[in-house]
Amino acid sequence: MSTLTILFAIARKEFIDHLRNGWIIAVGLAFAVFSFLIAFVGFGFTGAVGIGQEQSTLFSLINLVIYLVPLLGLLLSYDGIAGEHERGTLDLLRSYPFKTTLLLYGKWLGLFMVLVATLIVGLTAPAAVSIYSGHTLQAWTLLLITSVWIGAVFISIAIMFSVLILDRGKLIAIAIGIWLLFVVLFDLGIIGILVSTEGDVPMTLVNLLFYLNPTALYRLLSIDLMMDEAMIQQLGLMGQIPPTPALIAAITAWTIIPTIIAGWRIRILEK
Amino acid sequence: MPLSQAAPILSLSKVRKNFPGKEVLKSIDLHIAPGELIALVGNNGQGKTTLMKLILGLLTPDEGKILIKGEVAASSRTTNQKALFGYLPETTAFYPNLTGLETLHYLSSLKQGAPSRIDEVFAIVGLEHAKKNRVKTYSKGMKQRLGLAQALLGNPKLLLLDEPTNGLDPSGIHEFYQILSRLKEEGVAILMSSHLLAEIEPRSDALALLKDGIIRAHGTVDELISSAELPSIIKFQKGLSFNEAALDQILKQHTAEKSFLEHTETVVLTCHPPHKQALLFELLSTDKLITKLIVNDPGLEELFLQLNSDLKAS
Repeated sequence: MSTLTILFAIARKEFIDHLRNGWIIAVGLAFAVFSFLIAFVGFGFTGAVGIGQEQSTLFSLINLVIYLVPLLGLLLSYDGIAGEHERGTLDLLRSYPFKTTLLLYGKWLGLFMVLVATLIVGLTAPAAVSIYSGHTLQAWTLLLITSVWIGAVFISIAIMFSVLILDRGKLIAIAIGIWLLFVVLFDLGIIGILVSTEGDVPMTLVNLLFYLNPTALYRLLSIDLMMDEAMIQQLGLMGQIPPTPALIAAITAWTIIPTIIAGWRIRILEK
Repeated sequence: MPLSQAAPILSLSKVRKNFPGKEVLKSIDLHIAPGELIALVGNNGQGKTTLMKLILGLLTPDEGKILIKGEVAASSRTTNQKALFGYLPETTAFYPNLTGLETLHYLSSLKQGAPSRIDEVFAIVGLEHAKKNRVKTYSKGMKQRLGLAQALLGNPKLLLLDEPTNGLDPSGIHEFYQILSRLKEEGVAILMSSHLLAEIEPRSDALALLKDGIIRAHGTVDELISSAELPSIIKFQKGLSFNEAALDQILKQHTAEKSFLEHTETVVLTCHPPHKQALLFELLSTDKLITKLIVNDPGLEELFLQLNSDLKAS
């Protein structure tokens, strides 16, 4: 019972602290504006109602999520533990009568709550446009869930580095580097491999490479869950998407493994 | 040896701690009993903070034993052992976006303390008026009070205070020591580090002078000063009937030495404390020999400086 009390106390503090920090509200609003514009242009603006419009709008939103949500997760969390270290509160909290790993998990939970709140704000506008255009909420719910999940992956990665590095100056550079690597450079790398080999690369190898990038996994999972066959065909991915359980397992691993590493590291901090 | 007869709440025995390329603490023996205030004194970088972190279990000693309530502590402190501590780090910025009240609510729930204690500690540290203000609006002194308040949450039995009066104004320092005095009466043991010698000299039960990784001197201020045999300094101005030969005669009797401050009428005498009273009596009984008398007994600062110069010489 006391473990849960401590866990939720840390999560609550993290949530309040971030909500009072203006930039997260600005990011949430920016996300809402972008996603609303995509939805509005997708089917609201044209007045056209149909499956095709919803699918292409969802696909655009998936790409928006790939660009913004990992960055949001990283910027929310990069100084999660390093910030405590620099404020002098990390040693203080380590002297308190609770296991230090709870600080880590409580922070993760609090940051996750901030992410969920931000994405609910960000995705409400397009969902409203969608309902107004006669669509159901199912796809939007799935989009919210997968978006939260990819955000959670990047919270885990950022917290892991935050415990390992404990230097905010270096961590901001690392956060941006991780975003560039997974969101921009990885896809360019794969394209580069395909071009340089003129496509003579086993598809199994390409699929394996996707497992090294959580944003690629997110894209595949979202397409798998939200797109219909026609859209998948149009994207040239028919028969290329790994099985859903494999994608879910891989994203789960990307969420859990960095947190386990962070938990191990925080237990042996500066002994 | 512990200064008090009560069983020590904390004992350190031959504790050693090295960091890569640096031997910070060489062999530390220290005991502190309930109701005692021990001041850990030393220049910056002498290992005061490291010693506190070792006690808290944030660092592990390379050698030696740490006993908490008579039990040898493992490399990590148990929850029950941690609950005995109240710790105020040297610098703590806390959370600027939270109010003082929210900060203590948060920290109290982490210490699993009673919420009613929050108002008590706000009253103890005199921060009630600002408890609903955000921490980012607090002055350095107010943050230090908030730091002390969090250390008092959960009714600790051993307070570890690292340079606790940094940033406090003179009245704040006075109130701070009044708080410590009350806590001592309640049986709380206090280990505080400081390099403000004049401030801690009259307020601590015992001092531990830390230098080059070793506690060079440990005891009450009086014990330490008398064992160091530091001289008293007597300053006066020449009286109307000042006579150097007569003064020399008196100094010879009392094994004291004299010097003159250049371009002034001031004479400076150094004598050992046992001779001081008789010397003063004789100086004052000689008609118009001296005027404007000032007597400086040796204090902690002189002791500390002598210790430093002895170590440099050796």
